[in-house]
Amino acid sequence: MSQIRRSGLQTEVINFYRICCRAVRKKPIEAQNRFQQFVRSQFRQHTISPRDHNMIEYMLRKGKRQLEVYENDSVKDIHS
Amino acid sequence: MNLLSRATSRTIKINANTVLLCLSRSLKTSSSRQAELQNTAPSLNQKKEPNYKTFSIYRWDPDKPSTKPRLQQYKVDLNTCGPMVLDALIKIKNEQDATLTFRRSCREGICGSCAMNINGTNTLACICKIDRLDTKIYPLPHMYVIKDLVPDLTHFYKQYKSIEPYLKKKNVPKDGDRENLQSIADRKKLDGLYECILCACCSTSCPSYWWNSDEYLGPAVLLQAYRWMIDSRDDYSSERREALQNPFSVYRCHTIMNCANTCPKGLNPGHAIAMIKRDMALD
Repeated sequence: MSQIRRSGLQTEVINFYRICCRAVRKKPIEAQNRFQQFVRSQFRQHTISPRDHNMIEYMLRKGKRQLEVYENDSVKDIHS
Repeated sequence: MNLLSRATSRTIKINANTVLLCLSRSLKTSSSRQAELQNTAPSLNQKKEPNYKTFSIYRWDPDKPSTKPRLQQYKVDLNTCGPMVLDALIKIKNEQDATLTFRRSCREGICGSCAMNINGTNTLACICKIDRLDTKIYPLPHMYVIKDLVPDLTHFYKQYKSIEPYLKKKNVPKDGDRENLQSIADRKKLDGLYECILCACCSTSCPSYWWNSDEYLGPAVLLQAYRWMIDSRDDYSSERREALQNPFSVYRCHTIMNCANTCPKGLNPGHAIAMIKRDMALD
């Protein structure tokens, strides 16, 4: 079985996505679906060239900052 | 007045209204006199030729993250501009490019908002005089940029929070005690420390902080740490030192002293760090 070889940045993005999905599960059950949709939309709304490393790094930093805010227990629901 | 008196003496037919008019004309307020002066000598203002100077300013827009950061040139007439770099920045934002983004608040070097890299030196734009040569303005070095001249200081503030910059007492104050008193000599120990405005000029000028900002606290935060250690009212100074007892927090300072050179308030964080090191060695 040969695995797909990923660059460091790729694994970082995928790991970050997994962390976001895990954070969704800490939210109240009735709101989880909306949070999941929000995470997906945030990842999909940009069209970034896979070679544009600076931009990917920037988006990662921005995403981490965003996650820190939404992770807070006082954020109970989300409406887009 | 002379004319008025002649006119009144010559003819009786003169009507009261015209007299009043003449009187009112001769009574001039100071403001109207000033206006007249400006009208009579417009050449005085025009004689000064515009004195243009170019500012190259770092621009980067987060809404278009795929575009590279660039330097943008702005020509400013120094004769119609205030003396400080911040005045020029505000003038550019008002008259040329409203999208230029920077932090500013007090415009007198007391808030620390407008810290930026001007001609290679970290300083406050509001107390940095414009010189004759062309000026390059960048955001604080080695910080993530949010937009144009605005750096992301979140990590810096987190580090500041980690040193617990507030008074901590071991025993609860008695009912009568409303204040924590301090002798004049003890208060004097805080001079040269309490003036720090946390503009982050020193931390971002420190090469050691550039490479180890995740673990090394940096001069600004350590200066504040020392400020709370030597405060006579604080009971936790040895615990505060204990918390810094590791190879990175303090000991990444190699006395490069860029911090003391760049500090816009003329403080010496390097000295404060040296004092922390001395006290930690004696503990």
